[in-house]
Amino acid sequence: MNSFLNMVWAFIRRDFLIATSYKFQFIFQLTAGFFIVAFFYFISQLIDSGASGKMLSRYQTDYFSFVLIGVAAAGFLQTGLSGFADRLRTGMTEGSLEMTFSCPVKPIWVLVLPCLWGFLFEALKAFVIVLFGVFIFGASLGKADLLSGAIILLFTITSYSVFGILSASIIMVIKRGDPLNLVFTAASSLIAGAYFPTDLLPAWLAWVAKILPMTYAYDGLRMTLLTGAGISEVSHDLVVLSGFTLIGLPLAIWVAHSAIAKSKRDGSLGVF
Amino acid sequence: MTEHTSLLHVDRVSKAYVVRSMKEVLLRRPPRYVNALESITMHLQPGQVTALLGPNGAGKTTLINILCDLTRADSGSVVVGGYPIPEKSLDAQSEIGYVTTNDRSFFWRLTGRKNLEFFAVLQGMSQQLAGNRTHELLVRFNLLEQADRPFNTYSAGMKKRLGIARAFLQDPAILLMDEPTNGLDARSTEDLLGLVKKEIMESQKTVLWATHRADEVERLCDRVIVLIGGRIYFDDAIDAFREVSRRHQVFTIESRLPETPSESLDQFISETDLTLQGDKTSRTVKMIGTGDKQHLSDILAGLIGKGVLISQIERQSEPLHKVFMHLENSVSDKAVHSA
Repeated sequence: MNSFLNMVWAFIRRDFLIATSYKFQFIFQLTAGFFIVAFFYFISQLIDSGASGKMLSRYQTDYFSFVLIGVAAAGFLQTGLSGFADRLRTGMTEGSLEMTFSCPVKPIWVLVLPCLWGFLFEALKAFVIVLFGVFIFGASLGKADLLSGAIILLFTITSYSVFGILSASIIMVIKRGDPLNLVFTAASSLIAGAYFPTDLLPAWLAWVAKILPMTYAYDGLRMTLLTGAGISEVSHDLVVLSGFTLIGLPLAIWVAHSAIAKSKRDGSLGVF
Repeated sequence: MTEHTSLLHVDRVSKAYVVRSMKEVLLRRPPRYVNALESITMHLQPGQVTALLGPNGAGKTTLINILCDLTRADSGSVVVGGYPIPEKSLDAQSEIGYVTTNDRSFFWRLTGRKNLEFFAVLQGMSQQLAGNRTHELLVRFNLLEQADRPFNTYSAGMKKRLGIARAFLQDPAILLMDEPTNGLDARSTEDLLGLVKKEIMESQKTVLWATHRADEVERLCDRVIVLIGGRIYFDDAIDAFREVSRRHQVFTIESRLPETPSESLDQFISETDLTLQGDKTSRTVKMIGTGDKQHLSDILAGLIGKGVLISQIERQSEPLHKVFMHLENSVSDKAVHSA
């Protein structure tokens, strides 16, 4: 256990040091959220609060506060979807992947651990976005139940990681052009409720939204952070996310093992 | 060389890569296979430094990748330090220090020290132990002064030294070194070979040194395995390899032909496979042939006996690939020893 935690820390430290060695990019990425928050703030000024109020009554909030959570979570969830594959491809193209695989580390960790810094950084970015939203643009998060929000976030990470690991497995074999990532990124942005409530969608699309875990992630985060809902009130979201994790994660890990084994059989582990 | 005492045991390992273009996939044509390794058998004894010598494309990197479990063999068995691959890959990988020819295996934005510390933790060390071990190796490989500089500022020689230091991190029983001097100039190569030789001698590690350079083999290795086109053509002690190399030398004889060359001279030149360069009418020609010292002296005696004046003789080793070809043609049955 201790050596595993050492390894977790080693990956986070490595990626933190690499990220901060690009100082301008690091600062820009961290603060660029300001422009997105400002963009949605001004959009929200165009939206009639009476009309949007009905749609957003579930969250007892205005459009700006609603979309702020969506914006903060979207980048974070994007890392869950594409971070594993991105890190894998970086390892392939930079040439460090084979050396990491030659170390006595379980292959699945070589796939998963490089993404930890991505999650931490996205969480930091999400936090900064919320800070901008609350302290500069006046979003209302006064009722937030942070503990419940954190639990929802944890299960969001694990359920999104299912797609992330599957996506990385595809990249491991076909090297480029992962369709899974494309589909779920689009779905996450468009129909899961990142920028508008799913009630606005046509019935058939709203039905599609209901089978996506992202929908429950956005809903759970908004309920806990905007209305102060506790765990019991978001239990439905939590059950879906945890159920998805329990079923999907072992499957994703099995697929990843198979993809690594295939890549080794093909002799294409470091090929990109 | 018995397999019972060997530290690294490769038995009838074969590997072929599938080559299939998009057109072939669409037309549902059966895939083509390129043989990278064909029934390779070898056993490395503890403390032995073995060269894996072969031209580019011989299969050296494929074999090393199989030993590191980066590539899976199609058939045969591999046991490293008593652990079968792939069943006990992680245990086997703990026994291996791997030096790759690829400098990109490091993280270029990190310092040399941080790179080593990262890989030390992947070898199962605690953060503190990783720090101590890294420091010790930076001293041993003369990199302490540059330890806190980003890797991308290192010279080619420093990068190679750090690569070898990384292979020593967990003090492995076996070192697999894939062309570690690749891309170095003569001076840096010389320095690196000196350093490696010292480290190997002191640590008594079992080493597989993949290279296409015979001079490296001469300097470092006890045993030579020649790999060409995925097959072993030679596996014997370094002295036996030297003997084979000696037998395959190119000689150039600058000579002046007699005013009226006899038919028997033409016949002699033809029988001894000498190649003539220059104009026979001017009588000054170069004769080029191959063979060992004895063969050369027989030729010289024959030429002098037929009235040829010898002005100069040059001897040089035949290019390695030609030696390999000779081995392929003439020595394979005799020289391949199953370990």
